[in-house]
Amino acid sequence: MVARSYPVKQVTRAKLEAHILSLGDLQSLAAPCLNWCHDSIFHAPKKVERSGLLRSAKLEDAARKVFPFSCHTEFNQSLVGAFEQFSELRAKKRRTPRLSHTAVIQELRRPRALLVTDWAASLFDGSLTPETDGFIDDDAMPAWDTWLGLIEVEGSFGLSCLLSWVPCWIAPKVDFAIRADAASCLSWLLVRSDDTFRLNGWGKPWTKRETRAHG
Amino acid sequence: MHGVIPTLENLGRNRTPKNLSPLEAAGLEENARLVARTYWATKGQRTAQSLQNQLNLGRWFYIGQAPYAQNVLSEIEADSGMALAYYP
Repeated sequence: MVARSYPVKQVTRAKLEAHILSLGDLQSLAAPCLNWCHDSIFHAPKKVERSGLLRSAKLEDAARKVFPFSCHTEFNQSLVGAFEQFSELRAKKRRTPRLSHTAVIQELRRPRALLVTDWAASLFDGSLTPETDGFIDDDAMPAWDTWLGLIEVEGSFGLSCLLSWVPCWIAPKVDFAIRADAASCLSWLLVRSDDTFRLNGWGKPWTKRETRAHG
Repeated sequence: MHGVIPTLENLGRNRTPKNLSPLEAAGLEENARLVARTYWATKGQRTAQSLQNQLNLGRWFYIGQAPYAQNVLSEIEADSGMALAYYP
């Protein structure tokens, strides 16, 4: 698992300079996201339109600059730059930390908390929107409030994948969506007990075995 | 093969006439196969709209040129009682 959320001149250079994603890196990526989504960590927001679930209007422009063509956006330097700007904007708009370091780590360790989207593999067939109440859109892209970073995943179709956080209240639906996705472009990411990461498998739902392995 | 689908989707939505290349037909067949795989694997658990969305895609306008895809989706149509949009 390799972090991608840093400026790169070109993809090959990114590969050479890649560093392995650590739990510390992930904590830094996730803290502003969880801070932003603080009110939705444990409970679903009330009375939200399907298309607006965890898609704040304040972040919309920045998010659309990251993926101007949704799942058809090619991975390049401009996407990485736009993602950094998106992350900075989210952090800037809500500076006061509302979760402790420990609470963030605890949330990241929760089963079914981290989702990886291989957006280049999406079949953009609209099948996941009804299954997830709009948390995942018609192009299989998760809600932008929950985006954490760009990572390189071995065996993915695209050059880079999107890492995002999944609140506990929508996790069962996302789990089913992973199974129902014809393209198998989604996977859970597990934090192992030794703080390393393991991809659960594209199109593979969470099982009791994963929960046990998760500790 | 996924690479051909965006083009077929855009053209198919407008019912633009097009003769599919072998690669495009293969892409459509691959798409249909994947839809069928998840349909049968999750049968009875999906929301109706989820499946209907998959059948309402512009790309299926060209399904007549991909016989395998047509066979596969016809089985789903018959089983689910839903219909393909954009076709013929």
